[in-house]
Amino acid sequence: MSQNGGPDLFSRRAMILSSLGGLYFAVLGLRMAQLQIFENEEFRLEAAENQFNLLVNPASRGPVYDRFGVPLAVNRRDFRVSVMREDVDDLPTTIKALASILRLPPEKAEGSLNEAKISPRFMPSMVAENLSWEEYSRVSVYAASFPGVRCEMGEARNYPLAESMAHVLGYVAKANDKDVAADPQARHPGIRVGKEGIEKSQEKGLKGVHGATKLEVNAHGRVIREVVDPRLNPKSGTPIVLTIDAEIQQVAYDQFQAKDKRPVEAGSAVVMDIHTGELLALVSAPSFDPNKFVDGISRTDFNEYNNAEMRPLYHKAVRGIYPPGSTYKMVTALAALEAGITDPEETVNCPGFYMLGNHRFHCHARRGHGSVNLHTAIKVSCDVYFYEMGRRIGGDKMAQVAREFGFGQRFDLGIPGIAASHVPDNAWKVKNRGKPWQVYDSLNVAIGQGLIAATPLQLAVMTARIASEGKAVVPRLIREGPGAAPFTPFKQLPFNYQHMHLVHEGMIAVSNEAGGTGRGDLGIEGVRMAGKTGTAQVRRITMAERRTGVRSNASLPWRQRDHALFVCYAPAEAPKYCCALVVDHGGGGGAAAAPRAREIMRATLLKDPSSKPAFTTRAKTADLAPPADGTPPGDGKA
Amino acid sequence: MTFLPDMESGRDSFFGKLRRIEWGLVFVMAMISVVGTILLFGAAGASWEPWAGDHIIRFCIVTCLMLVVATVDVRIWYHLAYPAYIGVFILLIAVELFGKVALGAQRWLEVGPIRLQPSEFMKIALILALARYYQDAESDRMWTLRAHAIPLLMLAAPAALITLQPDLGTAIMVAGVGSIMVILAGLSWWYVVAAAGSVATFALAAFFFFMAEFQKNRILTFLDPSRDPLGTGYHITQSKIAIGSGGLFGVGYMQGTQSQLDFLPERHTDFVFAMLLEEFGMVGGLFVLALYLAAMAFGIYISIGCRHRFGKFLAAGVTMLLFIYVGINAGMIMGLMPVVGEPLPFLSYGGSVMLSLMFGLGLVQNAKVFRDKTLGSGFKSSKRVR
Repeated sequence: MSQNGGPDLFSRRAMILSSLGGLYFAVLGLRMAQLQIFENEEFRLEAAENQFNLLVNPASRGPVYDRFGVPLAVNRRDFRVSVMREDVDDLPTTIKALASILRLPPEKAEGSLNEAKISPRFMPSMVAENLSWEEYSRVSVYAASFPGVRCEMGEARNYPLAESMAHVLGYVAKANDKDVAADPQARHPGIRVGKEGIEKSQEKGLKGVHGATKLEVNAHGRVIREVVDPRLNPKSGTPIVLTIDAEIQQVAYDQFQAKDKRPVEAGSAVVMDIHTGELLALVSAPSFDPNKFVDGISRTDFNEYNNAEMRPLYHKAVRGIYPPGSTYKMVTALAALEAGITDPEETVNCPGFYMLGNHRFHCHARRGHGSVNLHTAIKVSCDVYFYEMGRRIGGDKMAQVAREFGFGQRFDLGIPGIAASHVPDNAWKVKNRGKPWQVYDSLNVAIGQGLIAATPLQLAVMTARIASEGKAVVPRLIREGPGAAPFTPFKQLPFNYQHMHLVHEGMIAVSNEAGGTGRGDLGIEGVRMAGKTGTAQVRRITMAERRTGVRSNASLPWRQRDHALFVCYAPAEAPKYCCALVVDHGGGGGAAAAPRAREIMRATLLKDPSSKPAFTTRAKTADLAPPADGTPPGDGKA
Repeated sequence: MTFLPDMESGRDSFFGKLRRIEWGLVFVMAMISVVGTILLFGAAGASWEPWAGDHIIRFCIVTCLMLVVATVDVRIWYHLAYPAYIGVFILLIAVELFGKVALGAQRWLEVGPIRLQPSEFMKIALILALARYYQDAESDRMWTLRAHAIPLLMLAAPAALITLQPDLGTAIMVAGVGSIMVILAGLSWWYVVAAAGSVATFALAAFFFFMAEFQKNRILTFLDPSRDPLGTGYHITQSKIAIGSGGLFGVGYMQGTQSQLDFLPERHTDFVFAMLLEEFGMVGGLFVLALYLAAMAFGIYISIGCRHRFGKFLAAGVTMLLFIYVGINAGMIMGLMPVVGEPLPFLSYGGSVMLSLMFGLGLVQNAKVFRDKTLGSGFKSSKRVR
């Protein structure tokens, strides 16, 4: 069937169809090029995503030590069991089985089930932790028969000192939604997030860098091998060394505990090295057990803490704002001397009250102190003397001196929630109370009442600045690690040395002379203390009450009782340490606060922590350590 | 093996016939099978078990069978064409009546220990029958529809039966290879275009009214694999990842993470080419495609060179069948076609396809061995071509 000499019909058609086939093969080749050359990168990524599973490998949280290396926040071994929903066949059955193996209470098992139900498929969800070795081995044996059950040995945060360090350290707890939004890895059941104190503010340094375990898996999720990649290893958190001396901290904390017939008291204590500003104790009482928060505190426990009248969760030492009461009188005295409106020998007559117009301002001594000069006024804490001085100086000048002593200033210790309070003057009153400053404001502030308010930390700073003869001491809490500020020598405050000395004399008299409001012996041969009591009124005493007799503290509800305060430093002749102590609603400063502060000071002086070599986590580089590590310049022998 | 009646050109020894076999084509098929063996060896984790050993042994056996088919006198095949077609057709009906259900479809017929898949044999039987028909029915009015009425019926009937199993992939292949032979026989292009149009219309109608859910899903997933990446689209998504991650030179033999870690499904059968593309890259893929192209070039060359229409149609039909296999499989794994579950001949593990296609290639060789044969007396038509 050849036609016209050309190829026949069959051959023509065979060639046409072959060409079409060839064209299709060309399309196949182009598609290959598209997938393998142009989209190669994306597909390689997708293949790697298939091939590898990354599991978060939590970094070891940085430990926190006291100045001598006593562990304050550490990681202990923790055996725990979790389930990975992705791999579990039947979640309720699995958890039920685990609960019966571990003898979990039914409500705990149900809680774990609910938590596992809402957790992401690929994230392990905790069923039980803090298991004993027996429980752990028991569950490990059974785990093989339950897919998706993971038995792990991890680390759990532990606070060996529990209550006494609770406010400084804060605590870690499971991440909440906000934490997870900030750092998705925090969802891992082995990871805790700092919620308060050092743990919160130094979270970044402490948590380290979480690593990952890279697993090669097949399509059925079975692990083929673990890929060793040093870049994925977790980096442990940086350790922190605090300035705190755990021993002194414990002594200070114990002062508020029930002892003999003494009841539990609320309050705070601050102990500081006046040359370096290092805080040796920073105590708030009553306290809480931070260990309870680590694994999730029960609602009952939390409510107990949260609703307690004495507010154990509150860091009173840095957040509590109190009228300083008579402890403020040194500021008034210095302001008066600096302003030149009195001389040390001038006497003021105290009949037990002070008349301003037709208003009577009472002295704490109803019968009066008689004729008092500066020295006696401080020793017996005569209110009338300081009313007179306050009137003469005026609010703004007193405020100026108060600021020099650190009032109204927020000291950054590297923990959250430190209060600044305020220093009242005319501008402050106009702004906050809408009224101009009045003379009676000056009178009240002069004795540390009325508009003035301060934190125990600020009282300690004030005492340190007085004791150091006017050095602008700044408190420090972190010696080493993230958040540690380099030590810079304190500048000298613009006060006359002579005036400072007069105040010292008064404070020494308080603790040592007959008639001193805070008299008491340290019990250390040849070492004297200087101090000042304070009794801060928290309620208004009406004229009617004055007539019928002021009610005794004991007859009042706790919340209305006076605050007892005491500030002191020692040794009196060559000051080294200072202490500020507040007993909330504790009554008189001399009776409730001074003995406690004396105990703390005694322990501090006996141990003398500043003269001992401090702990460091930096090996062998101590030669180049900042001055804070050694004996500070100008530090005399105690 | 001495069927040597009525030889036009004197005595024809067995070795003479062997010499006329197109050894180039045999070599190409052997190459493909060796590549397949290498791939299957790797797929099993460097083991001859369970696939690679079988594969190469089977190839050797079917090659022997092919040599037999190639050297059996062409007239025997000519005479067997219709009976074979009718026999396989009856088997297809038997499947419909007594067949075993496998993977949701009735494809198997069990006769004692032997499992028969008649739809597989139908591809070859149809080629044989149509070749005989066109050998006999040559006229100068081959462009008319009337001239192809019987062949169209011959291809439509088994295709319809296979669709009922349901095995759409095989049905399309049977209908496809039959249609190509009709076109080769000279049907006017106008009819071809019209038929293509009506097939497209019918396909759309079938999609909406007749198709089983899993078939619909295959097509929907083909159009958008991300529609259901862990369900129906999983196969094609993983296949594309395997291919794409291979790059130009591949990730290396037995280094393919998609293949070795089971992400690639059916890596020893339908998706063996994806594994090749992952491990040997585009270079490896083009090499294998070139081998198939070479095989088809031999087929077309033999077809055109054959002097009788029976041989021409046989060779062209089998070549086109090979092309359809390769086209569907390669298109499928690269996401150009829906997942129809057709293997890649001689590369994929599986005996049936290898057996039937090698039988077909035996017929191609037969057209070479007996290219100068005149199908003479006793035949309806004995026109010599050219």
